[in-house]
Amino acid sequence: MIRRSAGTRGGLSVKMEAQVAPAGATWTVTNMDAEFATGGGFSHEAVLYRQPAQYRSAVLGFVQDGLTQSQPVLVALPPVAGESIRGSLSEHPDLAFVDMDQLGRNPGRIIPAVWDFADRHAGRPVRFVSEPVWPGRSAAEIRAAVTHEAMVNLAFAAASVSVLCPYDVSRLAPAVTAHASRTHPVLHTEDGASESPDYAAGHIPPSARWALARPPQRAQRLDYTTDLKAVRAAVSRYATDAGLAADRLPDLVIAVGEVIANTLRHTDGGGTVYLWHTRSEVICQISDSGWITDPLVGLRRPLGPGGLGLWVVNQVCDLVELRTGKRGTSIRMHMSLPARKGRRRG
Amino acid sequence: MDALELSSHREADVTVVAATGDLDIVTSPRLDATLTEARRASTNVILDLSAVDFMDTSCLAVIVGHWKKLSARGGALALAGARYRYTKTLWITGLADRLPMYETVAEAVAACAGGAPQDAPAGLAQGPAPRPATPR
Repeated sequence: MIRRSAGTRGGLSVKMEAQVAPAGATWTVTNMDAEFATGGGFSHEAVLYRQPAQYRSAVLGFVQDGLTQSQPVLVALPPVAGESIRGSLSEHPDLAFVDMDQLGRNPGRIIPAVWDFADRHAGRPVRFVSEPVWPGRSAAEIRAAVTHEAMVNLAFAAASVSVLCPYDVSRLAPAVTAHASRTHPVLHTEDGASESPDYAAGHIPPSARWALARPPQRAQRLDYTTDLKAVRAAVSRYATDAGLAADRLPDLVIAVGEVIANTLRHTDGGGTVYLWHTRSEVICQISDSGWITDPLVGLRRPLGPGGLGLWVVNQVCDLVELRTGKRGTSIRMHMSLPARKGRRRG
Repeated sequence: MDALELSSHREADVTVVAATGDLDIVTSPRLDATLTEARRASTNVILDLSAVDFMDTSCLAVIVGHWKKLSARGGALALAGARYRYTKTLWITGLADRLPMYETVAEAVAACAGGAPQDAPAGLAQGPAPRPATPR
């Protein structure tokens, strides 16, 4: 999706200091002319930053540039960075913030949220600042976040959506940065913006394509065909015993209900549920013989009441891992357990 | 006991369909059939969800289908007694904001008697907002 080389892209050059420095700010911006893709069309650019100033310069420039052009901007950053950026920007009717550690807890919720934002501002190009990977995320979450970055290129290929994704290369594993350079057509580094030589449309990290590791031996296993109520009851009992918070229990039951309903809807056989938990999560995997051929399934709020299932699953689960192919589909749903002492160990 | 029990009765010129148990892809054809019958009898139909323990999106499709058909005839499909914990699917999908919802069947009947509710009337059943799925 590289349409223009970075050096010839149109766009405003934004002098950062004058527009965004809050009174009494102690930071200084060193990277002065932030240039970004403008107007309609899709762009997806990563900021590989090492210094806070580089981060601020890139994010604030992207936001201000968008607002200057009447493009609504949604900013989704982890809380500390988000608060800092938010504190540097004036309130604006076209500017919205969301905590990435909530929205992106399950990376499968990010693209649907961007669609919702774009739909609310139908007819106008929109911008999105997205930091989906931050230090401390689990391996499974990082796999899902990298897959999300690849899906951005598919989901918005024909949309007027500009996405800027900061990556903290000083703290993230080199492999994460390497994936970022494969999933983003344009990279911003300390040396400026350039096309990513590694960009590969549709790149999904091999670890996110491989079959899921087998459920552990201790996992509870339950086969089902049409008795969906019994499956939901078993999941509810298991999750309650494992310590899932009462207000999250309906979320898991709803998610499981949707996935097992899909087995009935889309296959001529039954499926298998695996349940286990760790100290921090209840995990429920459902495997059946179906094959989901649309890679974007569940990533946009359906317009009608049909096709809601996997979108709902993404909305309510803390992490969803999906593997599908000729030999069947496995959907692994993670629900966080509350941090407290004395819980039974998995 | 069946996963779902359905019963219908008339109150004033409204047909009330009461569901008990689970509304899912297995039981939704029966809900569809019962609502179809109710629609033949009345232009205003109330679906009593107060004893529903689970609801999946296949039932939402059924409910929305009947709601549209009744609305097109100048009538309404109102939901009564939906419990957030057990019918949270309504809130996750945003349908709770679009369908006429009442705390009780009595309130729904009164609203129908006072003119067909179109959408989101006063007296809307209030549930806690679901976790934010979209930016505030």
